[in-house]
Amino acid sequence: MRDVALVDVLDRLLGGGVVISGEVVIAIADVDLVRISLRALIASMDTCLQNELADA
Amino acid sequence: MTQLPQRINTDADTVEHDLVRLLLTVVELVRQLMERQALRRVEAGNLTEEQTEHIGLALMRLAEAMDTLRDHFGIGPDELNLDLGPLGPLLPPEPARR
Amino acid sequence: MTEQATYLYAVTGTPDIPGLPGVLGISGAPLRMVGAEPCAIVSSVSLAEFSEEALRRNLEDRQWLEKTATAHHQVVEAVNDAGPTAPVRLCTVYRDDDRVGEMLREQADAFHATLSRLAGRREWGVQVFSPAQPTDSPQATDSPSPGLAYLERLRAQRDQRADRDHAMARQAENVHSSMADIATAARRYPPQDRRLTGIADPMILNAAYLVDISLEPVLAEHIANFRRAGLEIRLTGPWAPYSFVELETP
Repeated sequence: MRDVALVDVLDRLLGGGVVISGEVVIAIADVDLVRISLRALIASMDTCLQNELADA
Repeated sequence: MTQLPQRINTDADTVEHDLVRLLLTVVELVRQLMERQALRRVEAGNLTEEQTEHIGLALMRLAEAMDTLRDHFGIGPDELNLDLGPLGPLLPPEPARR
Repeated sequence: MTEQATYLYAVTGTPDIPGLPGVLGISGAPLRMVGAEPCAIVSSVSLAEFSEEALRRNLEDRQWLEKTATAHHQVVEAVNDAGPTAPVRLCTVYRDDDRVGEMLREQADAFHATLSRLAGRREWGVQVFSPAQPTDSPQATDSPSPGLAYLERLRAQRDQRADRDHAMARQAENVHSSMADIATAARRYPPQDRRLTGIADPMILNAAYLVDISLEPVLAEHIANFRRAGLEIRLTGPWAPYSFVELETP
């Protein structure tokens, strides 16, 4: 698979793509995207990186 | 004479360091706002030269005091910031000085 | 057994997708097709993982998000390789395949219109970065009026920063108009947070362009020209047309 950056994928998957209304069990708009906390993402990225460094 | 091992209580140090950083960030924000406000007042043109000199000196000393405080706590200029999540950082990403 | 639901990845014009058997969906589940033309690509997921409450948690879990987004993206790209495809937004889940089929019938015309608009075109991502330039800092000097001198340097620093911001904004707009001119559609995204990109320089343009395949050499030429002129530009792609699939009524 082409080497792509997660941030670029997320721009498109969270901000783009068809938004289908109607009979869905869940669609991301229902979950209120604003709640995705950058801090949580960044904090967990730091943890991942530290774990990787520790394993190296 | 045997030397007692130094106990490094990293948790307490980190918490204190973080608090200092937080406090200095807020002070730095106020300082930057004051500089912007002062420039606007000076440019509005209704201050005497003496008043303008006075404001300039006060701001200059405030800037120096902030540098001293940061150096004292070993905090670099880039380290003063607060993450407000979706709103971005509290202070503009570029350091105002240095 | 936990209750299952149907996760929708994309809607495509043709059910003939040679690469599809080699691709797995979320949690390694096999993919299925619903409908014929248009055709939906789906797989089963557990409702426990995709309830509103579970999603609130999972969407903030970087590992879950990366795993899920990557799986979704891989499916979309595999499908898009076979023909015009409308990627669906992350985490679109139906009760079952039948509901997906119903949706496809209801929206058939809209999908046909969208998919034909996408034929022969690919999405490209363009990001422009503003080089970090330190501003001169007001230093104390010998002066009969050091306060006035300090204020003067503050003003100069502020003006310098404002001029630079304006210049960079103009450059970003130049890049955007050049790209938009050769694209059939353009879309701007918010600049990405530097803490996520790991790039220190501020991002001043984050955009996607839908470009005719025949015009891709022109796109490459534009990018090369801007780079020669000293701009820091990052080009990504080609992408499946995530940014250009707003369903329109034909």
